[in-house]
Amino acid sequence: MKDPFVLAGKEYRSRLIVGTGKYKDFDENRRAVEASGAEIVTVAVRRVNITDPNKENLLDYIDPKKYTILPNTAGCYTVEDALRTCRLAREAGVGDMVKLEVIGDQRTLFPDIPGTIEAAKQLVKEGFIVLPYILDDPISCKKLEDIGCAAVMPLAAPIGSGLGIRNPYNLRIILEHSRIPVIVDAGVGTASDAAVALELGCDAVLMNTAIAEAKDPILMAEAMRLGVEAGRKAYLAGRMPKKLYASASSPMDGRIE
Amino acid sequence: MILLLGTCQREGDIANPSRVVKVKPTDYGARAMTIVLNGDERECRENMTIADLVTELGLGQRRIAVEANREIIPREHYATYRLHAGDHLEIVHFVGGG
Repeated sequence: MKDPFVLAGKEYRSRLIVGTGKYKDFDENRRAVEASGAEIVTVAVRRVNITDPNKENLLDYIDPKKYTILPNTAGCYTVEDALRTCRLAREAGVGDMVKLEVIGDQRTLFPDIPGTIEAAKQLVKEGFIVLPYILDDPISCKKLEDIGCAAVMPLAAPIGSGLGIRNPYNLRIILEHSRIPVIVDAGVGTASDAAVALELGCDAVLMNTAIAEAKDPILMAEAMRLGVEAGRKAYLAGRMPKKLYASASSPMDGRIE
Repeated sequence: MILLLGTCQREGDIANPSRVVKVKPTDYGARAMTIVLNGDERECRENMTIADLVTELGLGQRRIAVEANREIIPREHYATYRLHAGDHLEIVHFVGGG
């Protein structure tokens, strides 16, 4: 069954986007990305270590020819910082697509909504393909869509919390109104959370900590791949309606008496 | 000024500030100048270009981006962009992140 995930005009087989933070080493990171089946991989933009510039680099392990590299603006608390980071990322030569984060608060890492909207506007104007991290708020998502973002990425729970899909009803409202892909970004803790996101009809899910901080990240990466596939198939299949009372699966006719 | 990217530091591998990384003085002698590179002072040869610096740092083959005094310098200008004493440079690359 051909069911591509279409993002900014490009088709992907995988509906799982994975991060590259918090891994023990580059090799574990590489193996987890492979096991996840992800084709889009997020990275952060940071200063080169001048004292040891020959140190191995992430992109020695995650080949940009093989994966779509999605730079983020994690750690940016102002619009200006986020814009600066996106422009630097584009200059470093991995394309125009950015994961926009304008963080509003250090403890929750919830997004600064007006800041995110302002930065998104400017980035779209500058020709970026903007994927904004945002609250699971239908109004903000609509605004970001109207601005010209390529997708919206509502959180399911705080970044790195692993709390799962805390507000499926908001996600459903977002999905009903959205004409661009909806990618759950942040909050997924285990494979069933990923499945739920896809069952709801979300187009994809983005995660980092749930894989990187599992006891066995490679195995969890595979579990996430399967969870995403299962959730997507269940969504396409269309679940049965929920009923309060039982409904026997075996016929009453022909019972032995 | 330079500290703006500094707000992104908390998750990164960026070393402590205000450390002075000096090349051997004999390398440049009287023709040395000081720039600020990724938040640290650094002595380098007068009039050197960004391309020279990038090569000296062994970053020639890396996917990096360079900002000089808050302005992004396109790769094709590295060879012609001459550094001046007191210039603030940022050289960034990609690291693990979510």
